[in-house]
Amino acid sequence: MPRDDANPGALRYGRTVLACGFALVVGVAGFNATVDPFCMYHDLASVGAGAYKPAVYNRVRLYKAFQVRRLRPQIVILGTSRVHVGLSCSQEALVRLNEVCYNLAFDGATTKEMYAYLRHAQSVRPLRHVVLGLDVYHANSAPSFTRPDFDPLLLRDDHTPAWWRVITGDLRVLASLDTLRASIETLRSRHPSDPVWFAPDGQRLGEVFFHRPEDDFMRRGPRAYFEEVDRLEVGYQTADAAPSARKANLKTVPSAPDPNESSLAYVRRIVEFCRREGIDLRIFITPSHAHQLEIAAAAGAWPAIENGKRALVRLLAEDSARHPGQPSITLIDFSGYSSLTTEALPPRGSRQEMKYYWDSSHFKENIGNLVLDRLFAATLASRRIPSDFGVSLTPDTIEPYLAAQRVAQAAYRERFPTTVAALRSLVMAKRHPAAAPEAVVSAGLQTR
Amino acid sequence: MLFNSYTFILAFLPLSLLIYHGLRRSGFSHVSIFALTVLSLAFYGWWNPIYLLLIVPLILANFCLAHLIVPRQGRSPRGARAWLILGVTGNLAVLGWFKYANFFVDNANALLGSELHLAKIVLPLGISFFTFQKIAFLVDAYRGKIDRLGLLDFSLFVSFFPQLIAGPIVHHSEVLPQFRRRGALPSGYLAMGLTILVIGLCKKVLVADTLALYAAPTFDAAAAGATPGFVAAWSGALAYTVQLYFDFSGYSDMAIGAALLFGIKLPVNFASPYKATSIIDFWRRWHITLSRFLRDYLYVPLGGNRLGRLRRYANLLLTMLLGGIWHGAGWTFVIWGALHGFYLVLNHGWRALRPRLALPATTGSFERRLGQALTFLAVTAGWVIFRAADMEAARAILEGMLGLNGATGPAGAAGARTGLLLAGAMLLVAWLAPNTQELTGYVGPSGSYDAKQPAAAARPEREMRWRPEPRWAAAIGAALGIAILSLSRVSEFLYFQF
Repeated sequence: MPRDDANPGALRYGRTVLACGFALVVGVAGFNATVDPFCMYHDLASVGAGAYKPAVYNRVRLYKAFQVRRLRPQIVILGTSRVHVGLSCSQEALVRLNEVCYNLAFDGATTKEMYAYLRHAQSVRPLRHVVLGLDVYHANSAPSFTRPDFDPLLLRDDHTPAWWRVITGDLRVLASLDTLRASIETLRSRHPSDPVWFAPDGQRLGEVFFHRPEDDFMRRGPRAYFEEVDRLEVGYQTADAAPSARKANLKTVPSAPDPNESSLAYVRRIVEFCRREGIDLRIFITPSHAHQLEIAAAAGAWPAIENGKRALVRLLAEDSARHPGQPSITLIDFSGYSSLTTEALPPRGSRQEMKYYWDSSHFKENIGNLVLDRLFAATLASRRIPSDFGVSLTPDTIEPYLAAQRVAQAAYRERFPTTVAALRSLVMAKRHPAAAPEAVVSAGLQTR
Repeated sequence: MLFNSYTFILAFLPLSLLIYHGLRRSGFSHVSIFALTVLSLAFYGWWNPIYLLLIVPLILANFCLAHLIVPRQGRSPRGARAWLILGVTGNLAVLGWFKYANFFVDNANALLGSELHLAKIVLPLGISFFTFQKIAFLVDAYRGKIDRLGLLDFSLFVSFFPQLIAGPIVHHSEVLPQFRRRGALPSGYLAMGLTILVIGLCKKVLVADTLALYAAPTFDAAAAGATPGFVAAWSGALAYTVQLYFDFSGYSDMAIGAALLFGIKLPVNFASPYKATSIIDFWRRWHITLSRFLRDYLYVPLGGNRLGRLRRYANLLLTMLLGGIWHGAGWTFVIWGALHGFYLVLNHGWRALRPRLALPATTGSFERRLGQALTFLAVTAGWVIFRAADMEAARAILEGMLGLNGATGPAGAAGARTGLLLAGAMLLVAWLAPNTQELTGYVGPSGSYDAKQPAAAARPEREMRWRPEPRWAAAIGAALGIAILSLSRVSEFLYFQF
């Protein structure tokens, strides 16, 4: 009987198949490495004119993982798009620390992702300082998750060798048809006039980004854009509570969520990691505009917000108790009603910008500077922090603070009754579409 | 470990081949079987090592039971029947616990208003497949159809990694003789195995995974309570119909190809099912190894067609009902199985009615085309129920397909037209192109217990036929490269307007 090991034709066939496959994979990976559409091996700011890299902007998590490898920062700023836009490593308090700083925040960051990127940065180079910006919804017991572009195989940690990450990360991304498509798009779309809004220190430069002519902020005007983001927030706040006529699905048995996988559990991991590694951690709750608070309250999330803050305080108190003699970890809440977060909207129809906000979610760098001033107890003659902006949360201050916030909330509602009513109507309209036609709600929102 | 993973393609498979063939070339054929068994268990344990504590004791227990059952000098040992009952119920109990316990508890809660709660049970990979293989082995041992019992062969029969996770459901008579063969590979196995493996990988990675992106939004939207319009509903249904076929048949091809690389022929599992001209024909082409298991170990023991027409129809319904629930623990699977049982009864009923209507016994071209269209529509409607999160979601999509939700309903419209076009293009491939065995001439294990296996008789024109020649090697190599380049997706994330 003829045998394959004695059959040179069969072996030659096999070798040809493997050689062709290998050549194609290596060729594509080499081409992708040369074009480098995601800026894995070049800083976006250093690639120069004519080397526009559009694919980077929708793959920020990937880009920042490689930026950390390149820059080897010792100060990182973690958070969501609010922090991504609002906090600059060039801020005086951070510059004074005299270490390489990188804004490692990205859009829609979850605490699970923040923890993974923290470990990545620490594996690249031991960190000295971490600034953690949490949004109010991060401090809850819902399971944390990761976004579609989060790729753990790109990230280093303390028990995975760096060379293995080159194989599972770099090579895998390079040997991909998606990357090939991005490379071809990159070569086709040389666009030297497009402003680069990604700062080398990782910040999304709001002044450049929002002022692009094609951006909704410019096309629709600041006020209309602000209201559009309000509507998006209403969508997020009401998404989980959408009514359903569906009967219980008999396919699954409901199981209790794993408390170790909650969003708050990952905050705890970040705290414990920083303690263990001797990293100075400073936490703040981001100062979104009061509209966001009103939308959350109208959606019934106010008790959850208060409980989240209590849980954070408890978490840090437990940490302090476990580490006597060491300084407590700072937690400052900037999210409450204050003279800055209640900034009035520009008149309807005007193209006037707000002083402190791009929209109800994203604050400008001038607020970010004040946040960093407070966090690092820096004082600058040119900047004065309003006394009602940013309250240190501790077991002693939390309840009086929450009570004061309720009073401030009532005052805000008295000051802006029409706006608050319109925001509530938006929430109602989302929950009961038949009861409140969209057009009526929109008109209400525009009337201050 | 999945076949469509880097770990399998770039590490596990090449390493296993080196070890296996190295041993055989060195004259250690028996050791190579042991090595292949250990490698198969490592393949299984890679997913979750704890489940080796399930599969290994099950292999040992079934082997001991087979030993107690198998006739000696033509006579069954004492208590053989009891051991057989114990073996079959024991295997079904393990399957029942892991696959159906939560389903039963959930239904009990719904019926009784109770709040019983089980700990989270993770379904071990492939348990539905290897449970059937062991049951068939025990039954045949009892019937005296096992000529030789060896622990090593039996262990490899159950755990052989190419067919361990998703079939084909292998009959012992097909592979045990092959395990006992000594020496190097029969000629042509390597080239054909590599080719079929690459075809399967391309089916899975390039077609099925792409179509999944268009099927999921419609089914997810329906699960969330939305009502898909006509276009979205058809797009979702057809995309899933194509996805499922290319996914499952691709995986079967990969299993067959990988097994061939080790010199083992597995049975054919798919034979262009969407070309079927009737539901009876469909089940001879779709998941063939499951169909024949259900036929030989359920339908026939129930009485098959030997006890009159009504009993035959009842047996068909029951067999398909159980076949449905084998696919998953949910009412949608039960209803899908019952629906196919009903289809089969109708089909058999029609065949019985034809002579009374003075219709010819053989069908003409038009009737075959009509039959193919009807069969495809019936199967697609079934897949909607199979895939849907629950019956209300299935109803919403089926209503959408009937146009009851309007042309463009609120849900799942984005990308629906693209999904429809892609699904249509791939259906043309499924209808018009030769299938894997037609292309390659693969016929499954010789001397198979099932003589009705589809052969490669209808091979395409000579130019389209695969041969181990350089131009085919280059084409298959390019396909392998493209499939590997498609394994990793570099996802985008668009948030707000950013």
